[in-house]
Amino acid sequence: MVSPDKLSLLFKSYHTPLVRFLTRRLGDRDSAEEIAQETFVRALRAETITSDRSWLFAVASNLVRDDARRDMRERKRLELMRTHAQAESAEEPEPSAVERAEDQAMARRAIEMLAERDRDALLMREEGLGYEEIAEALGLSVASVGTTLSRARRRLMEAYESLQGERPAERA
Amino acid sequence: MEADASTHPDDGTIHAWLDDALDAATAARIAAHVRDCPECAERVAEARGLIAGASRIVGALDDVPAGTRPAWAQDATVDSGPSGRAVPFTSAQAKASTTDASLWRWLRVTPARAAIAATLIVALGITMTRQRTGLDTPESVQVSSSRSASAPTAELGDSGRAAGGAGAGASAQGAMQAPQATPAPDHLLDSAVAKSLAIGHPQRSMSAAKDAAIPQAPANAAAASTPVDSLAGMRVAEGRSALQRQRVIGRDERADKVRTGAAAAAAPPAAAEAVTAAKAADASVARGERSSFAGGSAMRGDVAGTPTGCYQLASAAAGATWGGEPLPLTVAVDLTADAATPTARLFSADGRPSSLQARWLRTTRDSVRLTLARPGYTGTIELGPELAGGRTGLARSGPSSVNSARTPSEQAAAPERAMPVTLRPAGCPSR
Repeated sequence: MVSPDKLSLLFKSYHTPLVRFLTRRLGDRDSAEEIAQETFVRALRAETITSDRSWLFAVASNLVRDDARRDMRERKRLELMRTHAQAESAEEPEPSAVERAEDQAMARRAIEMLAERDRDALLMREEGLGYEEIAEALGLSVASVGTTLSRARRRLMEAYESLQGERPAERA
Repeated sequence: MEADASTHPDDGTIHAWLDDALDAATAARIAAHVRDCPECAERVAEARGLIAGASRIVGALDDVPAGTRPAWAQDATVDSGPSGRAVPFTSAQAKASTTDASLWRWLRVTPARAAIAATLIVALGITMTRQRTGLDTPESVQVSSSRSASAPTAELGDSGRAAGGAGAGASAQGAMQAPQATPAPDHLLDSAVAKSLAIGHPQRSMSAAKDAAIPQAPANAAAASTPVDSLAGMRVAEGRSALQRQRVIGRDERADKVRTGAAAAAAPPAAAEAVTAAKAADASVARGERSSFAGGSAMRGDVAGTPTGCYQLASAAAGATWGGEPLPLTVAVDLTADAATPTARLFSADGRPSSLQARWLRTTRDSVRLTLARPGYTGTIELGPELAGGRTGLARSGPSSVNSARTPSEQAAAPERAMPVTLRPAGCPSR
């Protein structure tokens, strides 16, 4: 069982990046916080943890998968609520805010168009995980991480660009 | 020396190389190969563009603009990603922002209630008049009085269950309070419903978000990773000083360091230099004509990384275009506009102004995104970090779904494709 000191160190080192990874992955901070907490609870119960960061991200990814099945409906409701609230907003936000909101929505849609493994690998890489850590967390060979990332990046860009092409021309 | 085709690195290896994930010997071999292989240099440029673009898109996931979040999201204690662009909204701030309206809130004066009150007053007046003239009975006066007293009581009761939607006015009031008192998910959802119902009340629906968002931005500024943040609008004010630009850049650099993680920070300096030197070589491969405008003036030399002056946008691909204009083009960045997203004007190779403009956005890890601004077209250029030979990346453009501004001949033209490009410092055209 992991000692409290060790857990404290893990929490201090990895809680913030883990929550950020999960928020990006889920699009919902509350769920991200909950899963991060559950991840650290599992860490406390674990017998041994050899590679801290990849272990934490792997457990978090697995929890996301479990959570996704359970809460899919709930998150869709949340998204609908948020979209509705924004659409009904009485005060027009400043243009830059509108553009940023559009950009965020397109980024969210584009990231969700990726295959799960590609998405996890990309988001882990963006959190600074090395190829070995990503390989360990996702059960890949180190040699295939580069291929996975190149595919993920290309598909993300293509998805984003296609979404961008669907909307009216850029504001001059 | 022409590299053997069998040694061409695949895309995964190129990405691994650019991600510093290869051992030194392999990295050196790739660098040498890319230096002598124009085809691979183009693929490296493309990979840099993909890395920069994907990183920017992932960073956009963290961007939650102030004033557009529903009540349940505003109640979150902290909502900041690595960029820190999202603005925290604490319960204490929510309380402070609404204190000045507490009296009116306590009175719960809404247009609907004002109308009800006016009706009751008129009804009471008529009743009293009739009573005084002996045309009414004491019982009917009692009924009127009890109705006038019970209506507001019922509405006050509704406020505790605002999400029930019993009345628009009551729900609107409850929407501002429910998220603070009840953090359980169902109540948060209910508060979002109530918030949307409350939108029609401008005094409350917008003031809570803005009052809290603007004062909070500086507290998060140190973590911002892109120039586009919640204070961008304020920075558009005239006379933006060089000091402000430095602050923006400094903030980006700090955020970049955070984003790249401890691994980069812990890398041995010698090894890091070797990798940098090896990678710098590839940037010089994608060759293009360096523009030389008679009487042109170079404008570079501002603070680190700030887009200043003119650059040449070139591609090794034959017949390459961007936004319908043939490359190479000269990109002149206008720093007198919004420093966060400066506008760039594009000139043809012979110095004539083109119909293209673009917005220059500095993103994470010293990358740059150029967004085409030409009616009828969409286009972007994702560029990697600035190296000795300039920036390399990936340019895309094509007709937009709304393309009325294009001529029939332009519409008949085949859609443009993505292509590797290089952006290098160059002289500015005479104007």
